[in-house]
Amino acid sequence: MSVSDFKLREVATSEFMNRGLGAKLTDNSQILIQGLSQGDFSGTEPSAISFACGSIIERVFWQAYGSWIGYFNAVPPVTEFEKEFLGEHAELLKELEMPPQFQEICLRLGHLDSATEERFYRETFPFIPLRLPMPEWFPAFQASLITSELLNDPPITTFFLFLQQGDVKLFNEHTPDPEAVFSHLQGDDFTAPFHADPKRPEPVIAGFIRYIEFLSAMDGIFPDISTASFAEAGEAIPNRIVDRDILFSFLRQYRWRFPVRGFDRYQAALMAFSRLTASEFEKYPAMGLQWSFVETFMAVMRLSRKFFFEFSESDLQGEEDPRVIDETQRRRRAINLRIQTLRGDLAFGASASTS
Amino acid sequence: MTLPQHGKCFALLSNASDEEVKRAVIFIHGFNGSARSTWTDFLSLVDDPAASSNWWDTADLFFFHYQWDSIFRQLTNNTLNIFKFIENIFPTPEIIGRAHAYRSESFAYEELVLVGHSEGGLLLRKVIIEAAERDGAILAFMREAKYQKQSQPMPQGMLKAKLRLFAPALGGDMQSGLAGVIASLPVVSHALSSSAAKKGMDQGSPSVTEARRRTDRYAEDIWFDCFRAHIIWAEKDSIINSEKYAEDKQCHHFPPGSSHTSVCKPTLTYPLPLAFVEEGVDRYECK
Repeated sequence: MSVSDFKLREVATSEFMNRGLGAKLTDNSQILIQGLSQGDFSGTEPSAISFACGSIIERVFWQAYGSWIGYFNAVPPVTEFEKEFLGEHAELLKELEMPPQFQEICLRLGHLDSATEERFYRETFPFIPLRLPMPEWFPAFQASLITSELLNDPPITTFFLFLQQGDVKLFNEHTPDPEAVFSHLQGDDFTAPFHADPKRPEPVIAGFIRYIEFLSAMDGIFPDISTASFAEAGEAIPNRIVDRDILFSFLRQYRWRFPVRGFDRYQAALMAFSRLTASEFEKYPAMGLQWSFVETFMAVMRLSRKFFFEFSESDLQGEEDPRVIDETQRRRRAINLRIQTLRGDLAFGASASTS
Repeated sequence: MTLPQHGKCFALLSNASDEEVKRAVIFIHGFNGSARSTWTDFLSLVDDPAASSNWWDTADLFFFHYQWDSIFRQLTNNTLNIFKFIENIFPTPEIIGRAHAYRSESFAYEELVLVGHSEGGLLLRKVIIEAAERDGAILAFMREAKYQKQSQPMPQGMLKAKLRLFAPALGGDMQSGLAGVIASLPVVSHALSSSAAKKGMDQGSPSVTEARRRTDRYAEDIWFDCFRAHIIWAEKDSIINSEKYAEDKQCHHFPPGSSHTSVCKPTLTYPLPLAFVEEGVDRYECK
């Protein structure tokens, strides 16, 4: 598909803003802002503010990336009302330890005149200057958009709220009731995650189950692929792999939900889920089920690390496996080469990578 | 695009013109699955020429969502809801809403492919039975054929469908309650094993056995593709019994390393699900 063939850009933009993920993020923020104005979140105001700001800023990121690659038409980043709210709370995001990029964008959206105009994207986001829109990136972008809608369902929101403000001691004091966990999985009927009883573990575990589903779905879009075979054959890494690496490195706007200091709570939820899983399978002796806790634990940790935890370069310095180091370096070289091509530093088609 | 009146169901419409678009492909997830978490890998790869063919360029994709209903509603309710969903898409896609004019008034699909995973596979068999029972020509044929030689009726409506099933729950399963929800999670499914001998003793519910009996009966007399599903089983499956119906065709090789939940998810290194939906078990990987 060539770019001029993409006739549905206006439809895609309208779907996102009015019915899809963009609309959900807008709705979430409006409900929270309204609740805050009515004093509904006594004692949990910082989390409510964090989720309201995070939802608006995440939507702006999606809008920005979508128009950057040519999938969306550019639309004004925020309304005057949203701008005012973000401006009022921008400083608080620092205290709440939102990712630095979010703090910065919040400040800009809250204070710059351009925040309600399309030029804001050009002035603010350090995009690779693409010579052309990238229709070959659309499928992975679309799939990420659709998958990320899962993060706005009530059960998973409850889980992230627990990571923000939960009490691990209280959480561990209660043995989860499987029936109640089952009932909380009915996300559509559980419409008030911000008002859930913070002492009960069941809604958190239900949210953790949905969180695992999100991780698995994202892992399908951005799978771990070894490129060693290309290196051994003396071939360049195909563009379709490199392009996903580039998109993956940009599409992190959902990560604000996982707080920097949320790891203890995350571990508590993971262990509670594991205990529940073991006890549920024990109910089916006739099936002879054998479950490897370690395998599931490792898989959840790997996916969480991949899609939510932020690691600095120093975190990776302890990595000693030469295959991992080779793989990382090879991927980085391929990304740099591809970016050079996309920027126009190299002529199109002159890249060593191939489609 | 989202689909008005259909909750979390959604569609991916081809960018091709009405004249070029040939087919609707409808995806039905399994127990505790969701339209988004089960099938997004298809979305991310259908435009990738290295993973998929141009068959997908001329296909509109529709994803049915019934996550909570898959757990609590009876198979019959879900069957009828899926029946209505398909009826609203094929041959004319009323479901996308005329007001938007994504497809013209006169547009109609030529082909229909129904794709099911796990419980979704069983539901599709029941949908096809429902469609056959509502088809007067088939009823007349079945009745008259007992007494004299009859010419086969032509397939109409959703009976024109081809069925592509990933690890369908045709032979019973362990999917119930919270244990079923947890077992269906990919990170758990991969780490689960069970005694095949014990599992083989599970004969499935009456609803499961009845779907088999009636489909086999239709398949015996009528040569429609919709009564002969093409099936891929997972290599490591602790959730379902791998039992096909009499006339079904199954892939003779299990995708290496596949589990009940991963078998239907194409990736950059496992594009087989895309080719399987397009060609069924005629793919060389299956022979």
